[in-house]
Amino acid sequence: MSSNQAGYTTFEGRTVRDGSLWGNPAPLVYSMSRFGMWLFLATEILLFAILFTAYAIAYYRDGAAFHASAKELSVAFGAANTIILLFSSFTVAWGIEAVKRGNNRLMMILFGITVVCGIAFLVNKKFEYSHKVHEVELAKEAIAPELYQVLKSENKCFEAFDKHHGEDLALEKCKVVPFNLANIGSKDKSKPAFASMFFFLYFIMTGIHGLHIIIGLSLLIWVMYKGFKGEFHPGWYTPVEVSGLYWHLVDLIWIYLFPLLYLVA
Amino acid sequence: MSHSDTHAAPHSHMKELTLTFVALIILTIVTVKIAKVDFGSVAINISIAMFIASIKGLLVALYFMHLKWEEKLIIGFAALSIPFLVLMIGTMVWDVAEKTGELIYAK
Amino acid sequence: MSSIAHTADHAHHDHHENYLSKKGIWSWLSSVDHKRIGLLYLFTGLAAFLVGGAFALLLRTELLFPGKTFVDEKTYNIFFTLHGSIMIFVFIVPGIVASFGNIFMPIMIGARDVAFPVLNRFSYQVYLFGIGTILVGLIDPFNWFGGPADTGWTFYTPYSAKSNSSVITMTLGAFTLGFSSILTGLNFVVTIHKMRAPGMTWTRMPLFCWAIYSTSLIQVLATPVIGITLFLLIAERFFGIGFFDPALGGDPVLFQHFFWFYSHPVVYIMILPAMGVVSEILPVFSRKPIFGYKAIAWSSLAIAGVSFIVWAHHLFVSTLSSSVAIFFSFLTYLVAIPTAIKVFNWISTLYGGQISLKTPMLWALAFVFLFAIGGLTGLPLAAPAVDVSYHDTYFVIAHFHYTIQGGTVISLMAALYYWMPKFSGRMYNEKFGVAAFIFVFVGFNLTFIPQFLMGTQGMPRRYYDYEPMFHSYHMLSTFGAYALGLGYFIAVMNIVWSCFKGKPAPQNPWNANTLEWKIPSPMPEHNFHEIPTITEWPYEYGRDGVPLEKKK
Repeated sequence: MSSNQAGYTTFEGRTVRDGSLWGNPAPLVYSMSRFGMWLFLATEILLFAILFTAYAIAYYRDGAAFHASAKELSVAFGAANTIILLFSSFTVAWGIEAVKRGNNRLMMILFGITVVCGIAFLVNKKFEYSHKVHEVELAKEAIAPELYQVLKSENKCFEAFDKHHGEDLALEKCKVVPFNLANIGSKDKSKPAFASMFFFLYFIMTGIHGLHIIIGLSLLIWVMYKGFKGEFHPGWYTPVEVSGLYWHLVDLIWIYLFPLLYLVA
Repeated sequence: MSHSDTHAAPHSHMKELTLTFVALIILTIVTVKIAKVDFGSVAINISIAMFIASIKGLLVALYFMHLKWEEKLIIGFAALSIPFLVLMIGTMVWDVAEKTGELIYAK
Repeated sequence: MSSIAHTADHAHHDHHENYLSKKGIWSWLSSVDHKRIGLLYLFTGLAAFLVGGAFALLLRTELLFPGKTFVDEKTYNIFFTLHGSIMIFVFIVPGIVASFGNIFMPIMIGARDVAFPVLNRFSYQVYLFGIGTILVGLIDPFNWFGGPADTGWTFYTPYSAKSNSSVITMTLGAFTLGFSSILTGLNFVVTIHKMRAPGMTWTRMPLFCWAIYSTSLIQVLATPVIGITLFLLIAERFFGIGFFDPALGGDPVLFQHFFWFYSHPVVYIMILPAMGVVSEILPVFSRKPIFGYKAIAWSSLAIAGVSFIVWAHHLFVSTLSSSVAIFFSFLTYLVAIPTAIKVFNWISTLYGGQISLKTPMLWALAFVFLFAIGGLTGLPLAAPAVDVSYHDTYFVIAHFHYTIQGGTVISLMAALYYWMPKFSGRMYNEKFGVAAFIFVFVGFNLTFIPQFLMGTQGMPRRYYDYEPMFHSYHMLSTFGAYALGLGYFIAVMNIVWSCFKGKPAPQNPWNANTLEWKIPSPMPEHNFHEIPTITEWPYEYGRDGVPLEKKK
């Protein structure tokens, strides 16, 4: 064994990589890469699991506040993003089927559609986030007493009735901005960066998820670049499949995020 | 049919993939509609939502991510993450539940 | 095995090409060779050990007298925070896995390298970056942060969310180091599953590899949790959100739950490879097969599994509800069982053997003794009722130093002395080795036995000042610490010096049977001339008809 590069073979008259790496033959590299990626996906699942745990605990401790905050989210945006992501998962899986049969052109088109879907998701998110600087109702003044005092003094609070387990409950609701960029780093409790625990979790969870979308898109674009150079053929498509796995994980996480964040009201 | 050999063209899974996609869309619509129905307690509402999400997740994992046709080793490791989630979320929520009635936090 | 044996005639002169042949800093930093990467981890880790040890000596010096000895309270807090953080995150967690695991696991399973060599190099680079981040937090050159962190290595909220110090930088450093750990673990799990030589079934795999495998499983599954936990802490400090702040509806105990969900399995990341090393050394220096191979192998996996379900025993006095406490106490006692199985098997291995007290064996024997004490002192801590008195006292400190230092560090020394002839082709100085060992063993016990005694009488940990009744204990402990420091310094310097100036070592000075001893010292770049086919397990000492090791 001497080479640290892959060997080469011919496919449809072109010289292409045969998939061997570090002296390991292509089938072994294929098997190890899938295994390695699944292990990495397990770590990502555990990462989000802690966030889901944090969510579960915060919900348990103050479900009413959660409901009130969650009402401000737009189910339409969330559902649209869900459909976009599910479709992008479908195109990625389809693209992998295509490259397995040597249909590189179809794979490039489908992966291109996937990338477009991913970008559409992010654009949607941006609109959603900027929408959130408008005021919403914060139902539970007990959570942030200094904030409550400030809001009350600014006349942003009013009495309202809310359904709680079938009964009407009198609550004091105050209008507040869910996420205030200007307040980041402020130690003043009447000027929090996030208006409530729900919004903190919402922005952190969708934010980290968004980061993973960007990572997934980078992988897909890198694969498209290599595909454009003609590197893949029915004997070697490991990077395509492994990047696809990562993208599916991103979709999988959103499948759980969507009902928990948007449909809890 | 072995997926560890990349040389022979494996048979196509397009039919399964398309059916999965259709099922996922239907389940998404179900998720949204069901969320409007109140089943009584918060626990039941969330359980139903999570149950449907898990079906969708399972479809993505089995078909889109090819787990159904993967080697046993990988299926084993993929499955391994599930008890962890149950353990982590379950125990910590259990502890919070036990305490929440007793302790009063500064308001 | 003859294809490997024929290279034995090259063993006695190190003029042949080996993995050390290419010279120059760039050849080291750009290498994807698992042996070089492992050596880099080893020496980086040892340097961190000396730095962490220096902080220990500083804090022990402050504790020599009650009240102020030479620093103020905040500086003392910084000392123990940096001691803990550097020792744990930079030295012990990568510890034996990233160093000896990298160098020897692939060879022991008959492979030429790990599954993902480039990822391996990336792991080390991430490790260096993490160290750099921690150093920035430690030194705080422009006083951006208000000084190094003083929260203790556990970074408990609410203080860590408010402390005017470099908490964010240090936790970012720990987060980065965790990422390196995940990548290494992932690499090793795939390597052991997929790259074993023909004939190397799971039951013919050396116990060190079983240990590395179990450790890697924990690394992959537990480390993401600390990553996101530290991130939430950073978010709390940076965004001012009250997730762990009771005044804002949060819960500081949640931090403890999240933190210990990782940090308990991490102590098993520390100890499992150490146990693997000892399982390799004891049979070689007793000229007897290891007793209970399958039990030791399975107990490694069992420990890895159970390690995930005991974390809340760190929270017994943190408002844990009693039913949850009882549940976790029961599980904690359960994890003692596979550990005890190992100890009994080691002792049975020694029984009736032809014990040869070379330096590696001295360290390995010390491990069994000291770790047993550490493990036994964990038993009272596992009972919530008793823990109410012992929590946060010096009893806990002594317990974890016996397990982590008396366990992992001693075993790392054993591994260093055992494998040094192989990775350097030279022999260490036996006299200095024994002298260093004696200083460490005596110094260690002198440092920590008084701490057990103090702890049972209520001396709290992380305290700057103390009652006069504890003065003699603290003095003894501090003198012990100096002896300990001197011992480790000699032990490490012996190795470093001998790497350059030691006598050339034979290919197999210990007459051991695992694969790394069948190839020349230092190892050839691609490990094996030809990948061997394995037909037997590696512990046939004394039973294979070959005479037991001849005395010189």
